[in-house]
Amino acid sequence: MRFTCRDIHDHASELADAVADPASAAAPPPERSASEWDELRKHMALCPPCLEYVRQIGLTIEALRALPGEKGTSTRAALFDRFEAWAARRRSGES
Amino acid sequence: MAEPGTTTLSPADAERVAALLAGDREAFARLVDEHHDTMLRVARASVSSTAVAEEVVQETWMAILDGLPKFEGRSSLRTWMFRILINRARTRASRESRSSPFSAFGSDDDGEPIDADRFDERGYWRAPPDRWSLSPEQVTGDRELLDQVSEALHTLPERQRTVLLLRDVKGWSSDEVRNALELSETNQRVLLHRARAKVRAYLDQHLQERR
Repeated sequence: MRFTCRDIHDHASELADAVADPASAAAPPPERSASEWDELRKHMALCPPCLEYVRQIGLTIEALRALPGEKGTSTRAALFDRFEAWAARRRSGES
Repeated sequence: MAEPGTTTLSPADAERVAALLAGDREAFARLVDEHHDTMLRVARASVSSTAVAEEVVQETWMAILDGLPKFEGRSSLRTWMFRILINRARTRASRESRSSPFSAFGSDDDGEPIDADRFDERGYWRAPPDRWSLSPEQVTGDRELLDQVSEALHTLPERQRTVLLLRDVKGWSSDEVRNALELSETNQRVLLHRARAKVRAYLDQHLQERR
Protein backbone atom coordinates (compact mmCIF):
# COMPACT_ATOMS: atom_id res chain seq x y z
CA MET A 1 0.00 0.00 0.00
CA ARG A 2 1.28 3.44 -0.88
CA PHE A 3 -0.09 5.22 2.18
CA THR A 4 0.97 4.50 5.74
CA CYS A 5 -1.03 4.43 8.96
CA ARG A 6 0.40 7.84 9.73
CA ASP A 7 -1.22 9.19 6.55
CA ILE A 8 -4.57 7.72 7.64
CA HIS A 9 -4.16 9.35 11.05
CA ASP A 10 -3.42 12.70 9.40
CA HIS A 11 -6.56 12.41 7.24
CA ALA A 12 -8.74 10.86 9.95
CA SER A 13 -10.93 13.94 10.21
CA GLU A 14 -11.85 13.90 6.51
CA LEU A 15 -12.17 10.11 6.52
CA ALA A 16 -14.55 10.23 9.51
CA ASP A 17 -16.65 12.85 7.68
CA ALA A 18 -16.71 10.61 4.63
CA VAL A 19 -17.85 7.61 6.69
CA ALA A 20 -20.58 9.70 8.34
CA ASP A 21 -21.75 11.19 5.07
CA PRO A 22 -21.14 8.76 2.22
CA ALA A 23 -22.60 11.27 -0.24
CA SER A 24 -19.57 13.52 0.35
CA ALA A 25 -17.09 10.63 0.38
CA ALA A 26 -16.40 10.87 -3.32
CA ALA A 27 -14.84 14.33 -2.97
CA PRO A 28 -11.18 14.13 -1.95
CA PRO A 29 -9.54 16.81 0.24
CA PRO A 30 -8.03 19.55 -1.99
CA GLU A 31 -4.43 18.34 -1.67
CA ARG A 32 -5.30 14.77 -2.72
CA SER A 33 -6.23 13.40 -6.12
CA ALA A 34 -9.25 11.12 -6.50
CA SER A 35 -6.98 8.07 -6.85
CA GLU A 36 -4.98 9.00 -3.73
CA TRP A 37 -8.23 9.45 -1.82
CA ASP A 38 -9.41 6.02 -2.98
CA GLU A 39 -6.12 4.51 -1.79
CA LEU A 40 -6.41 6.18 1.59
CA ARG A 41 -9.94 4.83 2.01
CA LYS A 42 -8.83 1.34 0.95
CA HIS A 43 -5.99 1.40 3.50
CA MET A 44 -8.44 2.44 6.19
CA ALA A 45 -10.87 -0.35 5.31
CA LEU A 46 -8.16 -3.02 5.37
CA CYS A 47 -6.19 -1.88 8.43
CA PRO A 48 -8.04 -2.59 11.73
CA PRO A 49 -6.11 -0.06 13.89
CA CYS A 50 -6.65 2.69 11.30
CA LEU A 51 -10.32 1.78 10.98
CA GLU A 52 -10.65 1.93 14.79
CA TYR A 53 -8.88 5.30 14.97
CA VAL A 54 -11.19 6.81 12.32
CA ARG A 55 -14.19 5.27 14.11
CA GLN A 56 -13.07 6.95 17.35
CA ILE A 57 -12.80 10.31 15.60
CA GLY A 58 -16.35 9.68 14.35
CA LEU A 59 -17.58 8.90 17.88
CA THR A 60 -15.84 12.05 19.12
CA ILE A 61 -17.80 14.07 16.54
CA GLU A 62 -21.04 12.37 17.67
CA ALA A 63 -20.27 13.33 21.27
CA LEU A 64 -19.56 16.94 20.28
CA ARG A 65 -22.89 17.11 18.47
CA ALA A 66 -24.66 15.85 21.59
CA LEU A 67 -23.29 18.55 23.91
CA PRO A 68 -25.98 20.60 25.63
CA GLY A 69 -26.07 24.35 24.96
CA GLU A 70 -24.26 26.82 27.19
CA LYS A 71 -26.62 29.05 29.14
CA GLY A 72 -25.57 32.48 30.26
CA THR A 73 -26.70 34.01 33.50
CA SER A 74 -27.80 37.31 32.00
CA THR A 75 -31.52 37.62 31.47
CA ARG A 76 -32.77 37.90 27.96
CA ALA A 77 -35.23 40.48 29.16
CA ALA A 78 -32.44 43.07 29.18
CA LEU A 79 -31.63 42.20 25.59
CA PHE A 80 -35.24 42.59 24.54
CA ASP A 81 -35.48 45.93 26.35
CA ARG A 82 -32.50 47.10 24.34
CA PHE A 83 -34.13 45.84 21.16
CA GLU A 84 -37.31 47.77 21.95
CA ALA A 85 -35.26 50.92 22.60
CA TRP A 86 -33.38 50.41 19.31
CA ALA A 87 -36.65 49.87 17.41
CA ALA A 88 -38.17 52.97 19.02
CA ARG A 89 -35.12 55.03 18.01
CA ARG A 90 -35.49 53.78 14.45
CA ARG A 91 -39.21 54.63 14.40
CA SER A 92 -38.61 58.13 15.70
CA GLY A 93 -35.77 58.59 13.21
CA GLU A 94 -38.02 57.53 10.38
CA SER A 95 -40.94 59.70 11.34
CA MET B 1 -17.15 34.59 0.01
CA ALA B 2 -19.00 36.79 -2.46
CA GLU B 3 -17.11 39.19 -4.71
CA PRO B 4 -17.33 42.88 -3.75
CA GLY B 5 -20.47 44.39 -5.12
CA THR B 6 -22.36 41.12 -5.32
CA THR B 7 -25.07 39.97 -2.97
CA THR B 8 -26.01 36.50 -1.84
CA LEU B 9 -28.85 37.52 0.47
CA SER B 10 -31.14 34.51 0.66
CA PRO B 11 -34.92 35.00 0.69
CA ALA B 12 -34.99 33.78 4.31
CA ASP B 13 -32.31 36.26 5.38
CA ALA B 14 -33.99 39.08 3.42
CA GLU B 15 -37.29 38.39 5.18
CA ARG B 16 -35.60 38.23 8.56
CA VAL B 17 -33.69 41.47 8.06
CA ALA B 18 -36.84 43.26 6.91
CA ALA B 19 -38.74 42.05 10.00
CA LEU B 20 -35.97 43.18 12.34
CA LEU B 21 -35.74 46.59 10.70
CA ALA B 22 -39.51 46.92 11.15
CA GLY B 23 -39.02 46.37 14.90
CA ASP B 24 -40.55 42.87 14.98
CA ARG B 25 -39.81 41.60 18.50
CA GLU B 26 -40.72 38.00 17.60
CA ALA B 27 -38.19 37.98 14.76
CA PHE B 28 -35.56 39.21 17.19
CA ALA B 29 -36.53 36.57 19.75
CA ARG B 30 -36.15 33.83 17.14
CA LEU B 31 -32.71 35.12 16.19
CA VAL B 32 -31.67 35.24 19.85
CA ASP B 33 -32.99 31.71 20.47
CA GLU B 34 -31.09 30.43 17.48
CA HIS B 35 -27.71 32.05 18.11
CA HIS B 36 -27.30 33.50 21.60
CA ASP B 37 -25.93 30.35 23.28
CA THR B 38 -23.53 29.62 20.43
CA MET B 39 -22.35 33.23 20.53
CA LEU B 40 -21.65 32.81 24.24
CA ARG B 41 -19.62 29.67 23.62
CA VAL B 42 -17.65 31.28 20.81
CA ALA B 43 -16.95 34.44 22.82
CA ARG B 44 -15.98 32.31 25.81
CA ALA B 45 -13.30 30.65 23.64
CA SER B 46 -11.50 34.01 23.45
CA VAL B 47 -12.04 35.80 26.74
CA SER B 48 -11.18 34.99 30.33
CA SER B 49 -14.60 34.40 31.91
CA THR B 50 -18.25 33.70 31.20
CA ALA B 51 -19.13 37.14 32.59
CA VAL B 52 -16.86 38.89 30.08
CA ALA B 53 -18.20 36.65 27.28
CA GLU B 54 -21.73 37.74 28.21
CA GLU B 55 -20.73 41.40 28.00
CA VAL B 56 -19.16 40.80 24.59
CA VAL B 57 -22.31 39.04 23.35
CA GLN B 58 -24.59 41.80 24.65
CA GLU B 59 -22.43 44.43 22.91
CA THR B 60 -22.43 42.30 19.77
CA TRP B 61 -26.22 42.15 19.65
CA MET B 62 -26.34 45.93 19.79
CA ALA B 63 -23.66 46.19 17.08
CA ILE B 64 -25.67 43.77 14.93
CA LEU B 65 -28.81 45.87 15.28
CA ASP B 66 -26.94 49.11 14.62
CA GLY B 67 -25.24 47.58 11.56
CA LEU B 68 -28.36 45.92 10.18
CA PRO B 69 -29.53 48.84 7.98
CA LYS B 70 -26.17 48.61 6.16
CA PHE B 71 -26.13 44.79 5.89
CA GLU B 72 -25.60 44.05 2.19
CA GLY B 73 -25.90 40.28 2.18
CA ARG B 74 -22.37 39.59 0.93
CA SER B 75 -22.41 36.65 3.30
CA SER B 76 -25.23 34.94 5.17
CA LEU B 77 -26.76 36.85 8.05
CA ARG B 78 -25.31 34.46 10.64
CA THR B 79 -21.81 34.57 9.08
CA TRP B 80 -21.94 38.38 9.26
CA MET B 81 -23.19 38.26 12.86
CA PHE B 82 -20.43 35.90 13.95
CA ARG B 83 -17.77 38.00 12.25
CA ILE B 84 -18.90 40.95 14.35
CA LEU B 85 -18.83 38.74 17.45
CA ILE B 86 -15.39 37.31 16.75
CA ASN B 87 -13.87 40.74 16.07
CA ARG B 88 -15.33 42.06 19.31
CA ALA B 89 -14.20 39.03 21.31
CA ARG B 90 -10.69 39.29 19.91
CA THR B 91 -10.52 43.01 20.67
CA ARG B 92 -11.64 42.32 24.24
CA ALA B 93 -9.19 39.42 24.56
CA SER B 94 -6.25 41.52 23.41
CA ARG B 95 -7.25 44.23 25.92
CA GLU B 96 -7.41 41.56 28.63
CA SER B 97 -4.03 40.11 27.73
CA ARG B 98 -2.46 43.59 27.93
CA SER B 99 -3.93 44.22 31.36
CA SER B 100 -3.25 40.76 32.78
CA PRO B 101 0.19 39.27 33.49
CA PHE B 102 -1.10 35.90 32.25
CA SER B 103 -2.77 35.36 28.93
CA ALA B 104 -6.16 33.70 29.41
CA PHE B 105 -5.75 31.58 26.31
CA GLY B 106 -2.93 29.50 24.92
CA SER B 107 -1.06 30.00 21.68
CA ASP B 108 -3.09 28.64 18.83
CA ASP B 109 -1.07 26.24 16.78
CA ASP B 110 1.63 24.63 18.80
CA GLY B 111 2.95 23.09 15.59
CA GLU B 112 3.64 19.82 17.41
CA PRO B 113 2.65 16.77 15.40
CA ILE B 114 -0.18 14.94 17.17
CA ASP B 115 0.50 11.36 18.33
CA ALA B 116 3.93 11.38 16.61
CA ASP B 117 5.35 8.81 19.04
CA ARG B 118 2.62 6.31 18.20
CA PHE B 119 4.17 5.59 14.79
CA ASP B 120 7.42 3.90 13.83
CA GLU B 121 9.92 5.44 11.43
CA ARG B 122 8.11 3.79 8.47
CA GLY B 123 4.80 5.42 9.46
CA TYR B 124 3.04 2.31 10.84
CA TRP B 125 1.37 2.03 14.23
CA ARG B 126 3.80 1.43 17.07
CA ALA B 127 1.01 1.98 19.61
CA PRO B 128 -2.32 1.26 17.90
CA PRO B 129 -5.44 2.69 19.51
CA ASP B 130 -7.22 0.54 22.11
CA ARG B 131 -10.67 -0.44 20.97
CA TRP B 132 -13.58 1.66 22.25
CA SER B 133 -16.46 -0.74 22.93
CA LEU B 134 -19.03 1.98 22.49
CA SER B 135 -21.80 2.59 20.00
CA PRO B 136 -22.73 6.14 18.91
CA GLU B 137 -25.88 5.85 21.09
CA GLN B 138 -23.81 4.89 24.13
CA VAL B 139 -21.50 7.85 23.55
CA THR B 140 -24.26 10.41 23.17
CA GLY B 141 -26.20 9.01 26.14
CA ASP B 142 -23.24 8.94 28.53
CA ARG B 143 -23.47 12.10 30.66
CA GLU B 144 -20.05 11.57 32.21
CA LEU B 145 -18.43 11.17 28.80
CA LEU B 146 -20.11 14.32 27.50
CA ASP B 147 -18.78 16.19 30.53
CA GLN B 148 -15.31 15.02 29.55
CA VAL B 149 -15.86 16.29 26.01
CA SER B 150 -16.92 19.63 27.42
CA GLU B 151 -13.80 19.74 29.58
CA ALA B 152 -11.63 18.79 26.61
CA LEU B 153 -13.11 21.67 24.61
CA HIS B 154 -11.94 24.12 27.24
CA THR B 155 -8.35 22.87 26.96
CA LEU B 156 -8.13 23.72 23.25
CA PRO B 157 -6.48 26.86 21.90
CA GLU B 158 -8.93 29.56 20.87
CA ARG B 159 -9.10 29.06 17.11
CA GLN B 160 -9.21 25.26 17.34
CA ARG B 161 -12.03 25.51 19.87
CA THR B 162 -14.00 28.01 17.79
CA VAL B 163 -13.69 25.93 14.60
CA LEU B 164 -14.72 22.77 16.49
CA LEU B 165 -17.68 24.53 18.12
CA LEU B 166 -19.04 25.84 14.85
CA ARG B 167 -18.35 22.75 12.72
CA ASP B 168 -19.15 19.90 15.09
CA VAL B 169 -21.20 21.30 17.95
CA LYS B 170 -23.34 23.61 15.79
CA GLY B 171 -23.08 21.80 12.46
CA TRP B 172 -21.96 24.75 10.31
CA SER B 173 -20.54 23.98 6.86
CA SER B 174 -16.84 24.33 6.16
CA ASP B 175 -17.49 27.39 3.92
CA GLU B 176 -19.51 29.18 6.59
CA VAL B 177 -16.81 28.63 9.19
CA ARG B 178 -14.08 29.80 6.82
CA ASN B 179 -16.04 32.95 6.02
CA ALA B 180 -16.94 33.77 9.60
CA LEU B 181 -13.41 33.24 10.90
CA GLU B 182 -11.66 34.45 7.72
CA LEU B 183 -9.60 31.28 7.43
CA SER B 184 -8.21 29.54 4.38
CA GLU B 185 -9.60 26.12 3.50
CA THR B 186 -6.32 24.46 4.52
CA ASN B 187 -6.09 26.37 7.78
CA GLN B 188 -9.64 25.45 8.72
CA ARG B 189 -9.04 21.77 7.99
CA VAL B 190 -5.82 21.72 10.02
CA LEU B 191 -7.48 23.43 12.99
CA LEU B 192 -10.43 21.03 12.84
CA HIS B 193 -8.20 17.97 12.53
CA ARG B 194 -6.02 19.01 15.48
CA ALA B 195 -9.03 19.88 17.63
CA ARG B 196 -10.85 16.60 16.93
CA ALA B 197 -7.67 14.58 17.53
CA LYS B 198 -7.06 16.31 20.86
CA VAL B 199 -10.63 15.76 22.06
CA ARG B 200 -10.39 12.09 20.99
CA ALA B 201 -7.12 11.72 22.94
CA TYR B 202 -8.73 13.31 26.00
CA LEU B 203 -11.66 10.88 25.78
CA ASP B 204 -9.33 7.95 25.22
CA GLN B 205 -7.47 8.77 28.42
CA HIS B 206 -10.74 9.01 30.31
CA LEU B 207 -11.97 5.67 28.93
CA GLN B 208 -8.70 4.00 29.89
CA GLU B 209 -9.09 5.28 33.46
CA ARG B 210 -12.64 3.87 33.55
CA ARG B 211 -11.50 0.37 32.51
